[in-house]
Amino acid sequence: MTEEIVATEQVPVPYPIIRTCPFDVPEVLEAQREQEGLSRVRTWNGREPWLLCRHADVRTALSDPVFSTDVTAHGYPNNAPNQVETEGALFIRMDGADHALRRRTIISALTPKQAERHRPRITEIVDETLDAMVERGGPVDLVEHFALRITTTVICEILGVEHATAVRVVDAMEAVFDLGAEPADRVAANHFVLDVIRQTAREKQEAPDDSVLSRLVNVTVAKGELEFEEIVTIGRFVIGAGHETTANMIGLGALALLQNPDQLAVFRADPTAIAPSAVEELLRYLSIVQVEPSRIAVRDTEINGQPIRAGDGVVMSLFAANRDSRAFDASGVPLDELDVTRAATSHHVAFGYGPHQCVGQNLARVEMQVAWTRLFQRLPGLRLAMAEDDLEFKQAGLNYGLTRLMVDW
Amino acid sequence: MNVEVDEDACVGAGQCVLAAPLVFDQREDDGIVELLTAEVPPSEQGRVTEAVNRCPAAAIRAGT
Repeated sequence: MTEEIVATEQVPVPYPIIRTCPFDVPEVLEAQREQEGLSRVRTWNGREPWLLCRHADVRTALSDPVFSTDVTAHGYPNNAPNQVETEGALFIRMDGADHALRRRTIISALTPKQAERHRPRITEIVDETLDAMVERGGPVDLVEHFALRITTTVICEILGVEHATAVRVVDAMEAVFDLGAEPADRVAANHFVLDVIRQTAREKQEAPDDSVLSRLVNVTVAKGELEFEEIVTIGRFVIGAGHETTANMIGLGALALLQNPDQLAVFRADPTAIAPSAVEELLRYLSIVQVEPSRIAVRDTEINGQPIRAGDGVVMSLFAANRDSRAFDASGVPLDELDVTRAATSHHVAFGYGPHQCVGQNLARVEMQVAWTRLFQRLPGLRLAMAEDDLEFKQAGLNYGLTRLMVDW
Repeated sequence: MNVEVDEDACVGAGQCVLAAPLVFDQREDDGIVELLTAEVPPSEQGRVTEAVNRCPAAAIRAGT
Protein backbone atom coordinates (compact mmCIF):
# COMPACT_ATOMS: atom_id res chain seq x y z
CA MET A 1 0.00 0.00 0.00
CA THR A 2 2.72 2.39 1.01
CA GLU A 3 4.74 1.42 -2.02
CA GLU A 4 1.78 2.05 -4.27
CA ILE A 5 1.24 5.54 -2.87
CA VAL A 6 4.91 6.42 -3.26
CA ALA A 7 4.87 5.10 -6.82
CA THR A 8 1.77 7.15 -7.66
CA GLU A 9 3.32 10.31 -6.29
CA GLN A 10 6.44 9.85 -8.35
CA VAL A 11 4.71 9.50 -11.71
CA PRO A 12 5.43 12.77 -13.54
CA VAL A 13 2.36 14.68 -14.67
CA PRO A 14 1.71 14.89 -18.43
CA TYR A 15 3.13 17.94 -20.21
CA PRO A 16 2.20 20.43 -21.60
CA ILE A 17 -0.07 21.68 -18.83
CA ILE A 18 -2.44 24.03 -20.64
CA ARG A 19 -4.46 26.75 -18.92
CA THR A 20 -8.19 26.13 -18.60
CA CYS A 21 -8.93 29.78 -17.83
CA PRO A 22 -7.24 32.37 -20.11
CA PHE A 23 -6.10 34.51 -17.19
CA ASP A 24 -5.24 31.94 -14.51
CA VAL A 25 -2.07 29.92 -14.13
CA PRO A 26 -2.97 26.20 -13.76
CA GLU A 27 -2.76 25.08 -10.14
CA VAL A 28 -0.21 22.38 -10.95
CA LEU A 29 2.19 25.02 -12.27
CA GLU A 30 1.59 27.31 -9.29
CA ALA A 31 2.28 24.43 -6.91
CA GLN A 32 5.50 23.62 -8.77
CA ARG A 33 6.57 27.24 -8.49
CA GLU A 34 5.92 27.45 -4.76
CA GLN A 35 7.31 24.07 -3.69
CA GLU A 36 10.93 23.31 -2.81
CA GLY A 37 13.10 21.79 -5.54
CA LEU A 38 12.04 20.68 -8.99
CA SER A 39 9.81 17.93 -10.42
CA ARG A 40 9.84 16.09 -13.71
CA VAL A 41 6.93 16.04 -16.17
CA ARG A 42 6.17 13.50 -18.90
CA THR A 43 5.96 14.53 -22.56
CA TRP A 44 4.04 12.90 -25.45
CA ASN A 45 6.89 10.46 -26.21
CA GLY A 46 7.66 9.47 -22.65
CA ARG A 47 10.57 11.86 -22.08
CA GLU A 48 10.74 13.27 -18.57
CA PRO A 49 12.22 16.77 -18.51
CA TRP A 50 12.42 18.96 -15.41
CA LEU A 51 9.73 21.62 -15.15
CA LEU A 52 10.81 25.16 -14.23
CA CYS A 53 8.21 27.63 -12.97
CA ARG A 54 10.22 30.14 -10.94
CA HIS A 55 11.36 33.38 -12.59
CA ALA A 56 14.98 32.96 -11.48
CA ASP A 57 15.15 29.32 -12.61
CA VAL A 58 13.69 30.15 -16.01
CA ARG A 59 16.25 32.93 -16.44
CA THR A 60 19.06 30.54 -15.49
CA ALA A 61 17.99 27.87 -17.99
CA LEU A 62 17.53 30.43 -20.78
CA SER A 63 20.90 32.15 -20.28
CA ASP A 64 23.41 29.56 -19.01
CA PRO A 65 25.31 28.07 -21.99
CA VAL A 66 25.18 24.67 -20.25
CA PHE A 67 21.65 24.50 -21.71
CA SER A 68 21.29 23.93 -25.45
CA THR A 69 18.29 24.69 -27.66
CA ASP A 70 19.24 22.16 -30.36
CA VAL A 71 16.00 20.22 -30.92
CA THR A 72 17.90 17.58 -32.92
CA ALA A 73 19.97 16.57 -29.86
CA HIS A 74 19.40 13.03 -28.58
CA GLY A 75 16.99 13.15 -25.67
CA TYR A 76 15.70 16.67 -26.38
CA PRO A 77 12.22 17.24 -24.88
CA ASN A 78 10.62 17.83 -28.30
CA ASN A 79 7.18 19.43 -28.22
CA ALA A 80 5.79 17.33 -31.11
CA PRO A 81 6.85 14.40 -33.34
CA ASN A 82 8.05 16.66 -36.15
CA GLN A 83 9.73 19.49 -34.26
CA VAL A 84 13.03 18.44 -35.84
CA GLU A 85 11.57 18.82 -39.37
CA THR A 86 9.77 22.11 -38.70
CA GLU A 87 12.41 23.79 -36.53
CA GLY A 88 15.66 21.85 -36.83
CA ALA A 89 17.11 24.14 -39.52
CA LEU A 90 16.12 27.41 -37.84
CA PHE A 91 18.85 29.56 -36.32
CA ILE A 92 16.81 29.85 -33.14
CA ARG A 93 17.68 26.19 -32.59
CA MET A 94 21.43 26.87 -32.75
CA ASP A 95 23.66 27.77 -29.83
CA GLY A 96 26.55 30.11 -29.16
CA ALA A 97 28.46 31.80 -32.00
CA ASP A 98 26.50 30.05 -34.79
CA HIS A 99 23.28 31.47 -33.38
CA ALA A 100 24.72 34.94 -32.65
CA LEU A 101 25.98 35.35 -36.23
CA ARG A 102 22.52 34.69 -37.65
CA ARG A 103 20.64 36.68 -35.02
CA ARG A 104 22.76 39.72 -35.80
CA THR A 105 21.70 39.66 -39.46
CA ILE A 106 18.17 40.70 -38.51
CA ILE A 107 18.37 42.30 -35.08
CA SER A 108 19.58 45.65 -36.37
CA ALA A 109 16.28 45.98 -38.29
CA LEU A 110 14.28 45.32 -35.13
CA THR A 111 15.83 47.59 -32.49
CA PRO A 112 13.64 49.95 -30.42
CA LYS A 113 14.73 52.84 -32.67
CA GLN A 114 13.83 50.96 -35.85
CA ALA A 115 10.49 49.92 -34.33
CA GLU A 116 9.78 53.58 -33.54
CA ARG A 117 10.63 54.46 -37.12
CA HIS A 118 7.80 52.12 -38.18
CA ARG A 119 5.27 53.63 -35.74
CA PRO A 120 3.68 56.11 -38.22
CA ARG A 121 3.18 53.38 -40.84
CA ILE A 122 1.87 50.96 -38.18
CA THR A 123 -0.62 53.63 -37.06
CA GLU A 124 -1.74 54.02 -40.68
CA ILE A 125 -2.19 50.26 -41.04
CA VAL A 126 -4.19 50.07 -37.79
CA ASP A 127 -6.43 52.96 -38.85
CA GLU A 128 -7.03 51.49 -42.31
CA THR A 129 -7.90 48.18 -40.66
CA LEU A 130 -10.35 49.94 -38.34
CA ASP A 131 -11.88 51.80 -41.30
CA ALA A 132 -12.52 48.49 -43.05
CA MET A 133 -13.96 47.00 -39.86
CA VAL A 134 -16.33 49.93 -39.35
CA GLU A 135 -17.41 49.82 -42.98
CA ARG A 136 -18.10 46.12 -42.66
CA GLY A 137 -20.22 46.77 -39.56
CA GLY A 138 -20.50 44.74 -36.39
CA PRO A 139 -20.48 42.19 -35.10
CA VAL A 140 -17.05 41.24 -36.45
CA ASP A 141 -14.31 38.82 -35.43
CA LEU A 142 -11.59 40.99 -33.94
CA VAL A 143 -8.98 38.23 -34.39
CA GLU A 144 -9.47 37.88 -38.14
CA HIS A 145 -10.48 41.41 -39.10
CA PHE A 146 -8.21 43.37 -36.76
CA ALA A 147 -5.41 41.54 -34.96
CA LEU A 148 -4.19 39.18 -37.69
CA ARG A 149 -4.73 41.72 -40.45
CA ILE A 150 -2.50 44.24 -38.69
CA THR A 151 0.32 41.91 -37.72
CA THR A 152 0.39 40.18 -41.10
CA THR A 153 0.53 43.45 -43.01
CA VAL A 154 3.25 44.87 -40.76
CA ILE A 155 5.58 41.87 -40.79
CA CYS A 156 5.18 41.33 -44.53
CA GLU A 157 5.96 44.97 -45.34
CA ILE A 158 9.05 44.86 -43.14
CA LEU A 159 10.20 41.53 -44.54
CA GLY A 160 9.39 42.54 -48.12
CA VAL A 161 6.73 39.95 -49.03
CA GLU A 162 3.77 41.20 -51.10
CA HIS A 163 0.47 41.22 -49.27
CA ALA A 164 -1.34 38.81 -51.61
CA THR A 165 1.46 36.28 -51.16
CA ALA A 166 1.54 36.94 -47.44
CA VAL A 167 -2.08 35.92 -46.98
CA ARG A 168 -1.35 32.44 -48.37
CA VAL A 169 1.77 32.18 -46.24
CA VAL A 170 -0.19 33.09 -43.12
CA ASP A 171 -2.75 30.36 -43.85
CA ALA A 172 0.05 27.83 -44.16
CA MET A 173 1.71 29.03 -40.96
CA GLU A 174 -1.50 28.30 -39.09
CA ALA A 175 -0.99 24.61 -39.84
CA VAL A 176 2.68 24.80 -38.86
CA PHE A 177 1.74 26.24 -35.45
CA ASP A 178 -1.09 23.78 -34.79
CA LEU A 179 0.45 20.96 -32.78
CA GLY A 180 -2.85 19.09 -33.19
CA ALA A 181 -2.66 19.05 -37.03
CA GLU A 182 -1.52 16.02 -39.02
CA PRO A 183 2.31 15.84 -38.93
CA ALA A 184 2.50 15.43 -42.73
CA ASP A 185 0.30 18.52 -43.23
CA ARG A 186 2.51 20.55 -40.92
CA VAL A 187 5.65 19.57 -42.81
CA ALA A 188 3.97 20.26 -46.20
CA ALA A 189 2.79 23.68 -45.02
CA ASN A 190 6.31 24.48 -43.87
CA HIS A 191 7.71 23.55 -47.30
CA PHE A 192 5.13 25.76 -49.01
CA VAL A 193 6.20 28.76 -46.93
CA LEU A 194 9.87 28.10 -47.69
CA ASP A 195 9.08 27.99 -51.44
CA VAL A 196 7.35 31.36 -51.27
CA ILE A 197 10.21 32.99 -49.35
CA ARG A 198 12.76 31.44 -51.73
CA GLN A 199 10.94 32.89 -54.75
CA THR A 200 10.58 36.32 -53.11
CA ALA A 201 14.27 36.35 -52.15
CA ARG A 202 15.22 35.65 -55.80
CA GLU A 203 13.06 38.58 -56.87
CA LYS A 204 14.91 40.82 -54.37
CA GLN A 205 18.21 39.81 -55.97
CA GLU A 206 16.89 41.21 -59.26
CA ALA A 207 15.20 44.24 -57.71
CA PRO A 208 16.69 45.22 -54.33
CA ASP A 209 14.69 47.41 -51.91
CA ASP A 210 15.06 48.37 -48.24
CA SER A 211 13.21 45.32 -46.89
CA VAL A 212 14.75 42.83 -44.46
CA LEU A 213 14.70 40.03 -47.05
CA SER A 214 16.40 42.23 -49.63
CA ARG A 215 19.13 43.13 -47.13
CA LEU A 216 19.58 39.48 -46.21
CA VAL A 217 19.99 38.38 -49.81
CA ASN A 218 21.94 41.35 -51.11
CA VAL A 219 24.19 42.00 -48.12
CA THR A 220 24.40 38.91 -45.88
CA VAL A 221 24.55 36.41 -48.76
CA ALA A 222 26.55 38.72 -51.01
CA LYS A 223 29.20 39.16 -48.31
CA GLY A 224 29.40 35.40 -47.93
CA GLU A 225 28.25 35.40 -44.30
CA LEU A 226 25.41 32.97 -44.97
CA GLU A 227 24.21 30.75 -47.81
CA PHE A 228 21.12 31.70 -49.81
CA GLU A 229 19.15 28.75 -48.45
CA GLU A 230 19.84 29.84 -44.89
CA ILE A 231 18.37 33.27 -45.38
CA VAL A 232 15.26 31.55 -46.74
CA THR A 233 14.80 29.81 -43.39
CA ILE A 234 15.46 33.10 -41.59
CA GLY A 235 12.75 34.77 -43.71
CA ARG A 236 10.35 31.92 -42.92
CA PHE A 237 11.16 32.31 -39.26
CA VAL A 238 10.53 36.09 -39.29
CA ILE A 239 7.13 35.72 -40.93
CA GLY A 240 6.17 32.84 -38.67
CA ALA A 241 7.28 34.44 -35.43
CA GLY A 242 6.08 37.87 -36.41
CA HIS A 243 2.37 37.60 -37.02
CA GLU A 244 0.54 34.97 -34.95
CA THR A 245 2.22 35.74 -31.63
CA THR A 246 1.46 39.45 -31.70
CA ALA A 247 -2.06 38.84 -33.07
CA ASN A 248 -2.76 36.47 -30.18
CA MET A 249 -1.64 39.18 -27.76
CA ILE A 250 -3.78 41.86 -29.44
CA GLY A 251 -6.92 39.68 -29.34
CA LEU A 252 -6.41 38.30 -25.85
CA GLY A 253 -5.36 41.71 -24.51
CA ALA A 254 -8.52 43.31 -25.90
CA LEU A 255 -10.56 40.63 -24.12
CA ALA A 256 -8.63 41.16 -20.87
CA LEU A 257 -9.32 44.91 -21.02
CA LEU A 258 -13.00 44.40 -21.86
CA GLN A 259 -13.34 42.04 -18.91
CA ASN A 260 -11.58 44.47 -16.55
CA PRO A 261 -13.60 47.67 -17.13
CA ASP A 262 -11.80 49.55 -14.36
CA GLN A 263 -8.46 48.87 -16.05
CA LEU A 264 -9.89 49.75 -19.46
CA ALA A 265 -11.06 53.09 -18.00
CA VAL A 266 -7.55 53.80 -16.72
CA PHE A 267 -6.08 52.91 -20.12
CA ARG A 268 -8.64 55.02 -21.99
CA ALA A 269 -8.09 58.08 -19.80
CA ASP A 270 -4.61 58.62 -21.29
CA PRO A 271 -3.66 55.81 -23.69
CA THR A 272 -0.52 57.51 -25.00
CA ALA A 273 0.92 57.75 -21.49
CA ILE A 274 -0.38 54.38 -20.22
CA ALA A 275 0.24 52.23 -23.32
CA PRO A 276 3.91 51.35 -22.61
CA SER A 277 3.25 50.10 -19.06
CA ALA A 278 -0.06 48.52 -20.10
CA VAL A 279 1.74 46.54 -22.80
CA GLU A 280 4.39 45.25 -20.35
CA GLU A 281 1.66 44.32 -17.86
CA LEU A 282 -0.44 42.55 -20.48
CA LEU A 283 2.65 40.67 -21.68
CA ARG A 284 3.34 39.59 -18.09
CA TYR A 285 -0.30 38.85 -17.29
CA LEU A 286 -1.11 36.87 -20.46
CA SER A 287 2.28 35.22 -21.19
CA ILE A 288 0.97 33.58 -24.35
CA VAL A 289 4.03 31.43 -25.11
CA GLN A 290 3.04 27.99 -23.83
CA VAL A 291 4.55 24.49 -24.27
CA GLU A 292 7.93 26.11 -24.99
CA PRO A 293 10.58 27.14 -24.05
CA SER A 294 12.61 24.01 -23.56
CA ARG A 295 16.32 23.16 -23.34
CA ILE A 296 18.67 20.21 -22.89
CA ALA A 297 21.64 20.18 -20.52
CA VAL A 298 24.92 19.49 -22.31
CA ARG A 299 26.90 19.08 -19.07
CA ASP A 300 26.01 18.24 -15.49
CA THR A 301 24.72 21.30 -13.64
CA GLU A 302 22.12 22.23 -11.06
CA ILE A 303 19.14 24.52 -10.77
CA ASN A 304 17.82 25.63 -7.42
CA GLY A 305 19.70 22.83 -5.66
CA GLN A 306 18.42 20.14 -8.02
CA PRO A 307 21.23 18.31 -9.84
CA ILE A 308 20.54 18.25 -13.59
CA ARG A 309 22.57 15.70 -15.52
CA ALA A 310 23.97 16.05 -19.02
CA GLY A 311 21.21 14.91 -21.39
CA ASP A 312 18.38 15.92 -19.07
CA GLY A 313 15.69 18.06 -20.68
CA VAL A 314 14.05 21.09 -19.08
CA VAL A 315 10.73 22.73 -19.96
CA MET A 316 9.56 26.08 -18.62
CA SER A 317 6.33 27.91 -17.87
CA LEU A 318 6.74 31.60 -18.64
CA PHE A 319 3.15 32.09 -17.47
CA ALA A 320 3.93 30.80 -13.96
CA ALA A 321 7.30 32.59 -13.81
CA ASN A 322 5.69 35.93 -14.66
CA ARG A 323 3.56 35.75 -11.52
CA ASP A 324 6.41 34.76 -9.20
CA SER A 325 6.24 36.98 -6.11
CA ARG A 326 10.00 36.45 -5.61
CA ALA A 327 10.57 38.42 -8.81
CA PHE A 328 7.79 41.03 -8.82
CA ASP A 329 6.50 43.38 -6.14
CA ALA A 330 3.34 41.70 -4.88
CA SER A 331 2.61 44.24 -2.12
CA GLY A 332 0.07 46.16 -4.23
CA VAL A 333 -2.44 44.71 -6.67
CA PRO A 334 -2.02 40.88 -6.60
CA LEU A 335 0.13 39.50 -9.42
CA ASP A 336 -2.81 37.36 -10.57
CA GLU A 337 -4.75 40.54 -11.38
CA LEU A 338 -4.34 43.01 -14.22
CA ASP A 339 -2.93 46.43 -13.27
CA VAL A 340 -2.13 48.49 -16.37
CA THR A 341 -0.17 51.03 -14.33
CA ARG A 342 1.89 48.44 -12.46
CA ALA A 343 5.49 49.59 -12.05
CA ALA A 344 8.67 47.55 -12.43
CA THR A 345 7.37 44.69 -14.58
CA SER A 346 9.64 45.06 -17.59
CA HIS A 347 11.95 42.25 -16.43
CA HIS A 348 9.15 39.74 -17.16
CA VAL A 349 10.06 36.75 -19.28
CA ALA A 350 7.11 36.88 -21.71
CA PHE A 351 9.66 37.34 -24.54
CA GLY A 352 12.03 34.82 -22.98
CA TYR A 353 15.49 35.70 -21.70
CA GLY A 354 19.11 35.17 -22.66
CA PRO A 355 20.68 35.09 -26.13
CA HIS A 356 17.43 33.84 -27.70
CA GLN A 357 15.14 36.49 -26.25
CA CYS A 358 12.49 37.41 -28.85
CA VAL A 359 14.14 39.23 -31.73
CA GLY A 360 10.88 40.95 -32.73
CA GLN A 361 9.85 42.16 -29.28
CA ASN A 362 10.37 45.87 -29.95
CA LEU A 363 8.25 45.77 -33.10
CA ALA A 364 5.58 43.76 -31.25
CA ARG A 365 5.50 46.36 -28.46
CA VAL A 366 4.80 49.20 -30.90
CA GLU A 367 2.15 47.14 -32.71
CA MET A 368 0.33 46.39 -29.44
CA GLN A 369 0.61 49.97 -28.18
CA VAL A 370 -0.88 51.36 -31.38
CA ALA A 371 -3.49 48.63 -31.86
CA TRP A 372 -5.08 48.89 -28.40
CA THR A 373 -4.80 52.69 -28.31
CA ARG A 374 -6.53 53.22 -31.65
CA LEU A 375 -9.07 50.42 -31.11
CA PHE A 376 -10.43 51.88 -27.87
CA GLN A 377 -10.14 55.49 -29.07
CA ARG A 378 -11.97 54.90 -32.32
CA LEU A 379 -14.58 52.49 -30.92
CA PRO A 380 -15.37 53.73 -27.40
CA GLY A 381 -18.45 51.51 -27.23
CA LEU A 382 -16.52 48.31 -28.04
CA ARG A 383 -18.09 45.28 -26.37
CA LEU A 384 -18.16 41.51 -26.55
CA ALA A 385 -20.75 40.24 -29.05
CA MET A 386 -20.71 36.58 -28.03
CA ALA A 387 -21.46 34.62 -24.88
CA GLU A 388 -18.40 34.23 -22.66
CA ASP A 389 -19.01 30.49 -22.72
CA ASP A 390 -18.56 30.51 -26.50
CA LEU A 391 -15.04 31.96 -26.37
CA GLU A 392 -12.61 29.47 -27.92
CA PHE A 393 -8.91 29.35 -27.17
CA LYS A 394 -5.92 27.76 -28.90
CA GLN A 395 -5.50 24.95 -26.41
CA ALA A 396 -3.18 22.96 -28.67
CA GLY A 397 -1.22 25.91 -29.98
CA LEU A 398 2.45 26.63 -29.43
CA ASN A 399 1.13 30.04 -28.46
CA TYR A 400 -2.07 30.67 -26.54
CA GLY A 401 -4.71 32.93 -28.01
CA LEU A 402 -8.32 33.27 -29.11
CA THR A 403 -9.53 31.49 -32.24
CA ARG A 404 -12.11 34.28 -32.65
CA LEU A 405 -13.44 37.23 -30.69
CA MET A 406 -16.78 38.58 -31.86
CA VAL A 407 -17.23 42.26 -30.96
CA ASP A 408 -19.63 45.08 -31.68
CA TRP A 409 -19.53 48.79 -30.86
CA MET B 1 26.74 56.03 -10.67
CA ASN B 2 29.16 54.37 -13.08
CA VAL B 3 28.00 52.01 -15.80
CA GLU B 4 29.87 49.46 -17.90
CA VAL B 5 28.65 47.24 -20.73
CA ASP B 6 29.97 43.92 -22.04
CA GLU B 7 29.76 44.08 -25.85
CA ASP B 8 30.70 40.42 -26.23
CA ALA B 9 27.85 39.32 -23.97
CA CYS B 10 25.29 41.72 -25.54
CA VAL B 11 22.55 40.00 -27.59
CA GLY B 12 21.14 43.18 -29.14
CA ALA B 13 17.67 42.93 -27.63
CA GLY B 14 17.59 46.69 -27.05
CA GLN B 15 16.05 46.51 -23.59
CA CYS B 16 18.58 48.99 -22.19
CA VAL B 17 17.61 51.50 -24.88
CA LEU B 18 13.94 51.14 -23.98
CA ALA B 19 14.75 51.59 -20.29
CA ALA B 20 17.36 54.37 -20.46
CA PRO B 21 17.65 55.91 -23.93
CA LEU B 22 19.87 58.75 -22.71
CA VAL B 23 22.50 56.29 -21.49
CA PHE B 24 22.38 53.39 -23.97
CA ASP B 25 22.23 53.07 -27.74
CA GLN B 26 22.77 50.26 -30.26
CA ARG B 27 25.19 50.05 -33.18
CA GLU B 28 23.42 50.52 -36.51
CA ASP B 29 24.93 47.48 -38.25
CA ASP B 30 24.57 44.71 -35.66
CA GLY B 31 22.46 46.07 -32.80
CA ILE B 32 25.20 45.68 -30.19
CA VAL B 33 25.09 48.06 -27.21
CA GLU B 34 26.84 51.43 -27.23
CA LEU B 35 27.32 53.46 -24.09
CA LEU B 36 26.44 57.14 -24.54
CA THR B 37 27.92 58.10 -21.16
CA ALA B 38 29.81 56.18 -18.49
CA GLU B 39 28.81 58.69 -15.79
CA VAL B 40 25.11 58.35 -15.09
CA PRO B 41 23.43 61.53 -13.83
CA PRO B 42 21.21 61.06 -10.73
CA SER B 43 18.07 61.62 -12.83
CA GLU B 44 18.85 58.52 -14.92
CA GLN B 45 19.90 56.13 -12.17
CA GLY B 46 16.48 54.52 -11.75
CA ARG B 47 16.30 53.91 -15.49
CA VAL B 48 19.79 52.39 -15.53
CA THR B 49 18.81 50.05 -12.69
CA GLU B 50 15.80 48.98 -14.77
CA ALA B 51 18.13 48.38 -17.73
CA VAL B 52 20.35 46.17 -15.54
CA ASN B 53 17.32 44.17 -14.36
CA ARG B 54 15.84 43.61 -17.79
CA CYS B 55 18.98 43.03 -19.88
CA PRO B 56 18.59 39.43 -21.15
CA ALA B 57 22.37 38.98 -21.35
CA ALA B 58 23.28 40.42 -17.93
CA ALA B 59 25.68 42.59 -19.93
CA ILE B 60 25.36 45.79 -17.88
CA ARG B 61 27.21 46.54 -14.65
CA ALA B 62 26.22 49.62 -12.67
CA GLY B 63 27.67 50.80 -9.36
CA THR B 64 28.68 53.85 -7.41
